[in-house]
Amino acid sequence: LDIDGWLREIGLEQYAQTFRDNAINADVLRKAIGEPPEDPLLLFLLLTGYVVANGVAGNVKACRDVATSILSLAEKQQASAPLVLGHICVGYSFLLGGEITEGEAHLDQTIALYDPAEHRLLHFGIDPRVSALVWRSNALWMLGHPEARVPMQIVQSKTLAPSVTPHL
Amino acid sequence: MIALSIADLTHMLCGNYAAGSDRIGELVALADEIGGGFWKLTGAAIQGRHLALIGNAANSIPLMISTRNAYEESGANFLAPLDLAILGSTHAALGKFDDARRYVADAMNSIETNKEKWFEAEVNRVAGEIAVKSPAPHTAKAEAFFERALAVARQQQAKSWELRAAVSLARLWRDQGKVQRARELLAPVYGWFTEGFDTRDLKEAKALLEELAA
Repeated sequence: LDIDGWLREIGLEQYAQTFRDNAINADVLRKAIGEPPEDPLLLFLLLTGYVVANGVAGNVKACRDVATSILSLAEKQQASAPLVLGHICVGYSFLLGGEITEGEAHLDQTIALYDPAEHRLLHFGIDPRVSALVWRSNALWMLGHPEARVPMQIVQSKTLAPSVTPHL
Repeated sequence: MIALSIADLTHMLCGNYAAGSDRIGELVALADEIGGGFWKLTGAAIQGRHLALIGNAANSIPLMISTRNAYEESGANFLAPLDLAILGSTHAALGKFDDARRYVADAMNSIETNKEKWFEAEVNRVAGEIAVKSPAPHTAKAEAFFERALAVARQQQAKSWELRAAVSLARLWRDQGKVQRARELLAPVYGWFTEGFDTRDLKEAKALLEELAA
């Protein structure tokens, strides 16, 4: 797989240097994601990981930039799973950055688009709806709706698959 | 685990510390079960915040500093503005005002550098509270911090942060004898709310408004 060509083809050539700087080639991608690079979801999963890593690191600008790229690409493709990933990434990064109303709207979109049959274990074993609900509960508190807490049945850990990555 | 840790933040924001405490043990047990170092650290960080919020500053400080350091060593800075502001408050509660001011300055620098702004209003409010509580209170400085907290909250449309900032500024004005001005600031912010009247912030705001009306 020609990484530069692949990124150019999907309109994300601005990340080519980042991939080169971090020696990310097709083998690295395959090992990191456990999926063949040709998988159409691979890029979205990779970029979602980048959003999560930057969110944990507190680099909200980088987190936000990549999140908006994910959503923009997902909107071009109009594919269901990338849209769910795009909205949750944008919602999360906007919330962290203090764009609370806008972030909450994207978390709402994540929940609206969610289909358990298709998206339940979409990213790293984390259910995107659960993730969107808990982040949204904080957004709603900040926006002056303190009763919009996470429904308790959602926060029953025994019903959830344990996540292996932080956040999202 | 994401649900437990981030839902804990919601409980903390609502002032429902008991519900949050109940879930810390569950989070730590789950982290032990799957061997997640990040989550164990997160459990410790949550415990530190809870100790601070229930007034146990002496025990919360070493826990919060050690988890903050461990986070930073691993490259994690998420929630640094909140944790540094809490460390500022706890140091102020123990009368260590130089340290308190240093932690709040670090919180502001963290926001400026990393752009994690969802707690920006609260960090400014805490800075104002520390200025008010200092042995030689800096009321002008405190007022400026509270005004900044209000401005950020309004820009973010964050009514709950606006309410907290308005309560802090209204208390300062009350203490300066500006009772009517305090009431005119707080009443419309409190009046905006249509729910959550059993939460800590709304109860405090209501009590202050009743006092200002007396």
